[in-house]
Amino acid sequence: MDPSEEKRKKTEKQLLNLSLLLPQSTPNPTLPDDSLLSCFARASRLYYPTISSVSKSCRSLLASPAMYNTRSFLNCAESCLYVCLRFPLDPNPCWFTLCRRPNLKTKKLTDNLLVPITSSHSAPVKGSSFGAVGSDIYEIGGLINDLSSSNVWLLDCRSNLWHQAPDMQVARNQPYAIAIDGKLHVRGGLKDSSSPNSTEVFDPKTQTWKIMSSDSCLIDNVLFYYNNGVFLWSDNKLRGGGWRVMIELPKYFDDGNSGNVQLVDYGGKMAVLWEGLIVLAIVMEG
Amino acid sequence: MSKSEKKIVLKSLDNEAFEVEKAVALQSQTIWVMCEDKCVGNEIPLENVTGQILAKVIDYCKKHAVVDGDGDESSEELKNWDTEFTKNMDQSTLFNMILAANYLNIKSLLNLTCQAVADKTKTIDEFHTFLNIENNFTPEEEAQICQENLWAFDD
Repeated sequence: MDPSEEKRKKTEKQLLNLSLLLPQSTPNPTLPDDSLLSCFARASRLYYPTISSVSKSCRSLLASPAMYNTRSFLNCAESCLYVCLRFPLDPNPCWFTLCRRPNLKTKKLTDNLLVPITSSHSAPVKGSSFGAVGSDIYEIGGLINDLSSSNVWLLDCRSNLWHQAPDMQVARNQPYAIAIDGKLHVRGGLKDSSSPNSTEVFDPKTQTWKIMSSDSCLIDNVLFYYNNGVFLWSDNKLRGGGWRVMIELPKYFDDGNSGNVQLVDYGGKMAVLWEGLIVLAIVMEG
Repeated sequence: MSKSEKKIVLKSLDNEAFEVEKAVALQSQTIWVMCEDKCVGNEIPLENVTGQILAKVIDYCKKHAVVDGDGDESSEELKNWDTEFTKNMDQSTLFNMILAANYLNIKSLLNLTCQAVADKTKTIDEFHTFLNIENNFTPEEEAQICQENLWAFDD
């Protein structure tokens, strides 16, 4: 046999064997999970209710942290609309998320609609407040059986499931909650409003609540904070976030001399009250 | 640089050899690492890619090696070329392209092919048929999901 002919025959034989191993030779080719993840991550979140109805593995793939990380990595992370409605006769608030309805005839997505989130947490809460950090929505405090509660629940928007988060240190009804710099700041809602434990801050990274005492106040979504003679501010809307120094007081006001300090929103201006000493008003512009 | 240094030979799983410009082949991070390591000669064996798929991958890399870095007009043209490239690709080719892009670590090709799959699958039926994903919910789970998804089918 001609050597080149022999080589061709050999290659053909190899090919035949190999074709059994190749994915394209199977009648129903499938993609491995990591490739599926890669494909799903590029689909709009509006399709997620559809994808999670496909199979068990699709459902768990969508809810996995890997999916959220892949979407963030690919710059495909989307902001999603979540709506919470309270009805007069139902103690439990109802949650919805914005989806699009697939038209079965044209195979295109048609109208937008709010789809209920079926999971809920066990405790019926009135007067709770909400704040969102990352992909989690926190439900904070409120009244359980007419008693102020320190309970915190979180809705994981990746899986649309509720989990219990660590309790606050103080029970609060209708507190004011805002996310600043990846942390949840909660103030007010106390039975006794003169209590010093006015603001506490939850850090999702350490899963701990810390009392910030009364030396902070929120004016027009800007948080002000006083510490050791220095006034700091943080605006959620500014890039980078973090604390910036607003004003430094003379040395006299360092710890020890400053006593108990309270910051108060005084009609858009910040009033600073030093215990038994002086009252100082700082005018906030813009 | 001599001519041989500029060219590189890629050998597919089924022993098909492709001689390509180095600049074309180096869009694959996998090949780039292999070349850096100097553990291979001028011929690089690619054990996970068939000749048929490798030919398409090379087509893609050739197109992108030539046009990259030019003005806006060519990037528009490149986009159109990409759309045409995946438009009529059958399911098995598309899957093999994803696997190849993944193995060869060509990010833009992986992006393109995964996006093509995402664009082709919109309804539950399409996920079952196109992606060959079996519905493995129990009848109880299925009933619950049906209830959850009433909104999607209620016209």
